[in-house]
Amino acid sequence: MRSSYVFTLVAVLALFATESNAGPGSSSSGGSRASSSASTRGTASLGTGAGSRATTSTSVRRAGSTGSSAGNRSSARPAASRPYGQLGARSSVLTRRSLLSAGTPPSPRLTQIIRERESSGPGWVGTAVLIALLSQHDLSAADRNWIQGKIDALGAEGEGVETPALLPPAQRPMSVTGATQPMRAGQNAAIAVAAAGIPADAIACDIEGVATQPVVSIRDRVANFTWTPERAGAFILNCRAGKHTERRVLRVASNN
Amino acid sequence: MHMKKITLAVAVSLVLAGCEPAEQAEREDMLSTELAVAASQKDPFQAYQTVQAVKSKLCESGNCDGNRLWVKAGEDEVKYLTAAIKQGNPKVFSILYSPVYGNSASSIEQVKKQPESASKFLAYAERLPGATPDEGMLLSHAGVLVMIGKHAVRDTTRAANLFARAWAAGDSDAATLASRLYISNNDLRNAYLWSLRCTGKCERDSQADLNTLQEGLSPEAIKQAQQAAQDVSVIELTTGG
Repeated sequence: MRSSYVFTLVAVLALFATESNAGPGSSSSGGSRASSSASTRGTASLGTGAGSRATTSTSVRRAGSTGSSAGNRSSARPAASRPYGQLGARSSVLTRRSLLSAGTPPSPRLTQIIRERESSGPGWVGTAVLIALLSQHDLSAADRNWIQGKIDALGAEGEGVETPALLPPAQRPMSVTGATQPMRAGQNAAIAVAAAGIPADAIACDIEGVATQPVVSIRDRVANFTWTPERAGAFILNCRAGKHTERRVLRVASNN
Repeated sequence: MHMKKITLAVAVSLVLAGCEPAEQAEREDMLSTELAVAASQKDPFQAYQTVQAVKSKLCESGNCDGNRLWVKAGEDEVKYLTAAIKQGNPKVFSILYSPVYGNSASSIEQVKKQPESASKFLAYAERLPGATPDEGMLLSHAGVLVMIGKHAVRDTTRAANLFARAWAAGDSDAATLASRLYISNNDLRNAYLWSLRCTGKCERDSQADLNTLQEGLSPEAIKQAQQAAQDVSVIELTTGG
């Protein structure tokens, strides 16, 4: 009875350890890594990398004036850590399967080295790191063979050093100027919006949660929006041009 | 003999509870009085504070539950908090959703589970102008709600807007929250963009380490994000391409 319980416990722990190391899915190749793996791995990694950081966060916040007056207990309580550790999920962009998740494990020493590399970096080690490891002189022949085997396997999956699969810059089909200018309540602010290949009169912008919306005038293929904010604050500007969208945050200071 | 045993058991219970019978009665009298005071107050949030205050006072030495009166005090807390939410009192939102306090009192948890609590708070937060750091903090709390998706429907765009407004209002930690949002959305460029903005008092999350995020970006993408981070109006880089 006791031995079966211990066996079950060990099996569960081993499974958990494998899942933790492996990440929630398998590796994918090259440039399609981010998009192809997003649907399968995003949620499963919740609480692994992120959760472990919940207790280590030292972010300290003061109570806001609203909050500090809210209740005896709250006002007396010192600012505490923000328990945001469990909120984030480790991105599948950042997470590939651990090298230790499949096949025969290397020596304990190399296992430890790889675990450290995986935990200190993006969650995985690639070919470049493996090649660097090969240059370590104190590795055993078995470990060198193990590393070489992993390099070969990654190469076969299209993850060799020749195809680093780095994300290119994002497309920015719309340009917005004037959104960072200091704006004041009650004073006109001018924002110019243009979009590549889209006529200016097909550009529409609005500001969330305000009654007074910007007024547009077209000049030189640019949509010029004039907005008179009613009050100080931070507001979201939404612009659309064909299938493109652009969101900006506008800061408005009080007029005092 | 039987009676003696019962008396002894009661005495032992009271000793274990840390109270002499007279002291116990005095505590219950005080609680009862304060619950009556709370019931007479028109402002439900003030009534909640009254119950909280007496509970805090009496609970300093522990042993403040189990009794019927303490159960009633907890029920009253839920009642007053719910009423304060219906009124849209901002103070109650701070207590319920502020990650600073992380209040896990059972009355707080009960009220948070009510679907209308989160929707009321979100509606309230989104109407805030975002003109001060305190308002920024509430916007961040609202962003966390829609980022987690537990008490409100998960909505990345809505969360990003809330964090962007919070950051613009002066809540520096909103930058790291936005970075986490984009990490959870597998959006490396924007996670990097917002992590770059986590400066000064903002504490960068270890998941949002700049060098780590850069490992997945081309030099051109890194440069683009660094330039975009300087433009304080930019919320996100288009994810396509």
